[in-house]
Amino acid sequence: MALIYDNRPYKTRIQECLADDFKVAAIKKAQDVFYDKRNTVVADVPEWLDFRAEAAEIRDHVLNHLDYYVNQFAENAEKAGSKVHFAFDDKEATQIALDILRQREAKMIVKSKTILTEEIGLNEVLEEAGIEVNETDLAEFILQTAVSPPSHIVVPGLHFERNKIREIFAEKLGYTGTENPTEMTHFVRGYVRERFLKADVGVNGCNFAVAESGTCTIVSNEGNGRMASSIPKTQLIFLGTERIVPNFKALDVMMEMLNRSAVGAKISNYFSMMTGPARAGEADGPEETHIIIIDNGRSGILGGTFQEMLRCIRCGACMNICPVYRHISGHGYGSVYPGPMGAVLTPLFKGYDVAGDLPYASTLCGACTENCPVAIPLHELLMEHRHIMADIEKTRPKAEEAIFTAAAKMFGNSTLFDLGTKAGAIGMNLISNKEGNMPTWTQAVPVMNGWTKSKEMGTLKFKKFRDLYAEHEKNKKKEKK
Amino acid sequence: MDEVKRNQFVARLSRALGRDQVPTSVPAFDYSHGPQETMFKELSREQVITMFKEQCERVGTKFVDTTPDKLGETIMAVIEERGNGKIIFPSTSEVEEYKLKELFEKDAASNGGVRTYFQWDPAKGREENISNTANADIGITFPFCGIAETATVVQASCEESGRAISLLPETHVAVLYTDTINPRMTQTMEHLAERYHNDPSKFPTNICLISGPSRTADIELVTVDGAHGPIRVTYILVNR
Repeated sequence: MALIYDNRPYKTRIQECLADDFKVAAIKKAQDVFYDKRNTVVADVPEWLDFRAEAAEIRDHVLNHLDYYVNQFAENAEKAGSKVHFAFDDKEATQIALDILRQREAKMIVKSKTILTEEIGLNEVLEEAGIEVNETDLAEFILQTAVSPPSHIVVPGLHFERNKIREIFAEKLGYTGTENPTEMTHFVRGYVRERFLKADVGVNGCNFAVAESGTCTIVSNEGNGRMASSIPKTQLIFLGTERIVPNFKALDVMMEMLNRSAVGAKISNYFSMMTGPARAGEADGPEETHIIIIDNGRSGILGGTFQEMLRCIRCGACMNICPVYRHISGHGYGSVYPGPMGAVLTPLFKGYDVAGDLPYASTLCGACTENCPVAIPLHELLMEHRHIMADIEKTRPKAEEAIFTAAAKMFGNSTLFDLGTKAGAIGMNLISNKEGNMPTWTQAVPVMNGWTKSKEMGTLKFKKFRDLYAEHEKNKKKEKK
Repeated sequence: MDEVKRNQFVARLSRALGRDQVPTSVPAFDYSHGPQETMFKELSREQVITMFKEQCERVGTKFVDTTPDKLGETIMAVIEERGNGKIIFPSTSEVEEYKLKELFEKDAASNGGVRTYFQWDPAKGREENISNTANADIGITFPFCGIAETATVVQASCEESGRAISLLPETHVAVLYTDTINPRMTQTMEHLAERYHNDPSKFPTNICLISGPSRTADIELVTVDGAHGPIRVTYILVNR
């Protein structure tokens, strides 16, 4: 999958998402479940805001010294016996991986969940080279089997209901059981287990890399991350440059934030810390470990207006609370990074030409910022994107500028404002229905239907708040007299 | 590591940060004001152990209490409760200390094949150990410490006890000394840092914090135990 997997216009994507009742309901349920669970575990930690401030400071400290920490991590990882590779972009990263696999004549690999490999499009490159790629995270496995993009970063397969999954398994894998989630999960367990035991290479992502020891860590509930790093003889770890922490002490703080924010649990069922390959004498674990450190646009964000975005620990808390994500789901964004974090990050990686619509997928309510465990000012960064597009790069349609210039004039001048709203009130009241709302035929009128299609729109009133307020003040004065 | 590439890669980061050289040192991050430094510090050992057990109950992880002199007995009872079958156990010092191998051999000779035992033995090599473990129903391990807040056991891999034992069998039995239970992850991380800096060459290549069975909720958010790893977990808590 490429970083942007759906190139159709933003409007086409979101209309398709809004029309999918199951998907909308599934995302709503997920948001509600995660919201409640997160709030419960966070309420258990009165020190939460102090932790949050500390976590943000740790991330900033790392980013401000990222050159130093990448060096330190690489040195210590090599000391522990890992081989460290550096890739400037997606092409270099996938080529390094392909070279390693070819040298080992690898035919089949097993992968645990890593969004970074989606960002760089690893699977496509390997499959094209004739290597069998097995996603092993249950959701990723469902998506791979169904050939469908992720709709959430933590639970990417939410848009499939159980009956659909049963159908897909039956058709593609010869599954004969029922749609019971336990039965289907255990079917996949058996299916994937065979591949874990046979695979030449295991592929892992990395939640946090520890500079002081060269350790890579993986958070997982299913245990597939452990499988991929325990059984195959060769291990490939894909690491985003910014995902480094100074030391073990920092891991403690980051883990305090990550699991609670992601799924509302105090901890994931597994947290693996891998320091180099297995030593001589160990009878399992990788015989060789390769760590591919990937820039792919990150150094372009570092040191600039958007540096705070690099604090991100990919927990998904911002999308779990976002009212826009709630309706358009991950697929509305068309990027492997959805939700508010994706709306900030995707344009930084891919430019406004292809992702300029995403910063507008926001109500700017700021819930994402408030929910972010590392205090990224997400909605402010979304505003910054809009500001750059409108005022600096001038990428917005000419008409938009004209409209906003006119609006600014009107809103900035009380005479014009009064005239305009009066004219509006007259016009709207002329066409309104008997309930005093805009009539249904306006749903066919471009621009206007943006408001009237999805909700009842009332008319502008002749008496405005300002008039009422003036009246009120007048009456008060009268009473005083 | 390709040094030229590394230097180019890091130089790009330095430039972005507005300098032309990588700093040779950076100020250490000060953790002393973080809440983790003081949380749960006032708890007694008893309270820490209680917190561990309460969290087990909250997340549905089974545990049994025992003492060193009854450990063999307790292990046998847990194996029986978990349905018998093939059992894989490590060759760590605890096995010798509690004469578990002798216990298992004696049992194997008289139980009529209900329980068979395999020991993790690095001398037998990769294939045989992994295959024994993949075929086992129950894996027994001895984590080196616990974390009360999250009901976690901390399992390090070593020659005598591979990664697979707590991973491949459907049931994982973890034997934990209650006096190794820390209040938080904080103390575990402090311990790991100390252990690393004492001798990096002896630092475990794989350490796993285990908090219950393998679990997923990827289908309609319905929780299912046993995604890829153990379906069932029992902690045996040894009070010495």
